[in-house]
Amino acid sequence: MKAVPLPTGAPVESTGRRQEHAFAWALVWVLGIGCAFIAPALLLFLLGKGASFLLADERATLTSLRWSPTEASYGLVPLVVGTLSVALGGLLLALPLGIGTAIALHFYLRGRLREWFEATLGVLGGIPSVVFGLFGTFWLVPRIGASLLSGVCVLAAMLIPTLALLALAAFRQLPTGLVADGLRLGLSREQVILRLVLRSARPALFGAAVLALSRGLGEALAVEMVCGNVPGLPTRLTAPIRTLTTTLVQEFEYAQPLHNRALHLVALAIVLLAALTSAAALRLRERKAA
Amino acid sequence: MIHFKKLTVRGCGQMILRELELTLPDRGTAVLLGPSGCGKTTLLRSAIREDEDDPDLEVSGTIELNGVDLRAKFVSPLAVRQKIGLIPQRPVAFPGTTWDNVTFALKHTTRLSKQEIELRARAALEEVGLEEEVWKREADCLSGGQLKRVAIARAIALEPEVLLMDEPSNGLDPLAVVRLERLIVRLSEHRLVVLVTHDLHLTRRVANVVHFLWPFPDGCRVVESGAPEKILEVPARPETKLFVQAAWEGAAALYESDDELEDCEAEECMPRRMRLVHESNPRELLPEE
Amino acid sequence: MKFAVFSSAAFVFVLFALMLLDILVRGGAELTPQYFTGAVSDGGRSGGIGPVVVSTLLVVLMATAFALPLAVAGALLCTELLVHRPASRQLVRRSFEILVSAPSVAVGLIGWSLFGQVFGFGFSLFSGAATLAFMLAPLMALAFLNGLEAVPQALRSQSLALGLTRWDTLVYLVLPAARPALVAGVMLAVGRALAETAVLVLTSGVTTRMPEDIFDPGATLAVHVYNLAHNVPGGESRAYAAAFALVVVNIGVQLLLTRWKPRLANQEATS
Repeated sequence: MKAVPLPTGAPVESTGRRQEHAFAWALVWVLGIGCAFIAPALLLFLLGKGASFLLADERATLTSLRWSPTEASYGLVPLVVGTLSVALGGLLLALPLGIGTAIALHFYLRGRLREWFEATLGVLGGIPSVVFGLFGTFWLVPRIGASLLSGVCVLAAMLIPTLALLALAAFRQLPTGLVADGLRLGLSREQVILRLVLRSARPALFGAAVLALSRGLGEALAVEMVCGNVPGLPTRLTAPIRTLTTTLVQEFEYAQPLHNRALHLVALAIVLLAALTSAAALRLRERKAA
Repeated sequence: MIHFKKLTVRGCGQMILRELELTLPDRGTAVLLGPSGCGKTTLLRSAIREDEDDPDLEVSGTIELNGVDLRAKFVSPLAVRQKIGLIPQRPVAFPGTTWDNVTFALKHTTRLSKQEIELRARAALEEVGLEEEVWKREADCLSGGQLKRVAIARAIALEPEVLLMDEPSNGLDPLAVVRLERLIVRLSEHRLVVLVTHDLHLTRRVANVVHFLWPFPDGCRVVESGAPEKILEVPARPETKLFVQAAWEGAAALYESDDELEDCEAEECMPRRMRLVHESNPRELLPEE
Repeated sequence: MKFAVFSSAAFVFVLFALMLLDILVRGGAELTPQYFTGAVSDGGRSGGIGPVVVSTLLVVLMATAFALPLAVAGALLCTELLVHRPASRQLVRRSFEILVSAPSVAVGLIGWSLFGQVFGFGFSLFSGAATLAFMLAPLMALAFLNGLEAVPQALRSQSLALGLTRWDTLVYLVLPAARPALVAGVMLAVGRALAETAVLVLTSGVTTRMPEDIFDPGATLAVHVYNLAHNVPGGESRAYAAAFALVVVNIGVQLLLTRWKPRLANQEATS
């Protein structure tokens, strides 16, 4: 668009930078859309590769109970069961500890001390998962063996800080007068917490738990270091197991083409599980706000 | 001369301005007066084509500056903004010092040399009356009145022919208002200054011409124009009378009770726009939303 | 009740304290300056982690460099180009959020498939950085988005009223105003890159040789810890040393973040 000098006095020379800007904005468009399309593109890639497995005859084995690629059996069931057991187990172990810690911090501590502990919790939550795996390998496994139980313990340790922080956030969103009103009615502090607070915060806490679950479902390395490597259905807590994620880590490198495609389906399953649980968590947390 | 011809503005599904016709002179101060919601600010924004960035606003009509339609497609908004400066009601400080603020647009929109930029910035800052020691201060640390003046300085540094000011005296103490008045008078010697304001005192002291707008169901219109003495002291239209009396005399000037209002069907009984709730509590004068 | 919650909190903090102390004790002794620069020997059971440091730096820098322009453009897409299309904006934001919470192993497998096999780079620092960039770009984009949205709209409109172009307004006003958030976003990404293990095990490999160029494989610090702990028998003490280094770096980055943008750091932990 050419700038027309208005006939009122001499036109001030503008810097004429419109042309350069068109290129700059075009670049922003292209790169920006590229960035936005990363997620769908990756998903499509997984779908494509995974779907090509479905064209093979072996697809019938997907629902079987044996995952043994060398014998052309690609049963996902034991892997899914393994994933769910570790994640749920870790969550169940982490929940009381995490929420308990949050209660202790929010309702029984004040001021500087509370802030310091909260900050520490935040930092602990950011520790890389390998460190937990390390600890598990050299401290847990020699004592209780490479098993479901070890995986559960390691995962629980990882989830506790996240759960505690989310619970704290949930407590902070409670109406400020709640505790005071409860106490005024004659309830003891314990009763107020148990009956009023936990009840009111329940949707948010539930959402937090589900979010932690989705984290646990996607965790690969820490679990892989302590879980043992037997892709069978876990019969007891101390049995070694495999999860969807550990399978990927252990088999990706030397997989034959068909096996390779099956692994993409495994990855897809992980993504689906994690996505479903995160979406559920989001809905739960939004419901509390509504 | 600025001519607003058949300027129609729709916003958020409502008609704000309907076929407004207005002519403003080359020099001097013109004041646009009227209740809130009358599209006065929108009028100013359309003059610099700021409405084009707002998907909720639909503007049609022409705004001619010395014969050229500013809203024509082939006229670049950037060129328009070199000729017409808008000083917003709540100016935001750009990062940096006062000096940085004033030289900002000069640096980025013109090809002036460093010396010329410095000359213009100095002239602008001196015109608004900011002392040199303020020039080096961070703009975040300025008082409201000072920031207002910085906003004026950064606009006049571009030497526009028309200056639009949106409620300039809002939030200023009486001493600052007096300083502002003197500044407006100085500025209007060489250019057109258009003020949108509710401040009748300010209007009476600086205006050369006053245009009064009133909201009607089908949009706002200019209902009365003229010299400030006439409009503010002996308005002809009932709408103007109501507005002016409310400012000078408060609620006592208006109707005593709801009954009177209900019985009265004449055009003077204003509309649904104003309603006295309690005669005994004159502070509760509610404009109807 | 009070007893119960305090004992659970105590248990948690003591557990973590013990863990960290354990790492400090078992790993700290090994840390000398030579450790960081020395070559790796005996499969990592002795010697330093020089090559690992190099690999880590290369991967983190490359990944951030790849991701940064994408992330900036992605954020700008939302705040400047899609300003009047809230539905599209929401979609783009969703895309970012999905990727941020996606399990990293899956992304790692895609990286291996795509860069390692289809493009034929095999295990390489480049594959690792590119795959990591896929994860970092949306993370940074979200952080940038929040920062840009916090800039008051009046700043933009008043600059435009003075006659500046949208581009100049963006570059000289809006971006400088959002700078703290931009810096915090980059730090967030760097922190994530340093801690990320699963993706890199699948794309840049576990080797401890000094990489000659970016198409060589190489283990980053986190991957090295994993390798020593899991794949190398007798690598226990070295694993602890590397873990100590990793934890120190990680906590350092986190502390820097909380100083600069407390709210953002908290969000990362809880998102």
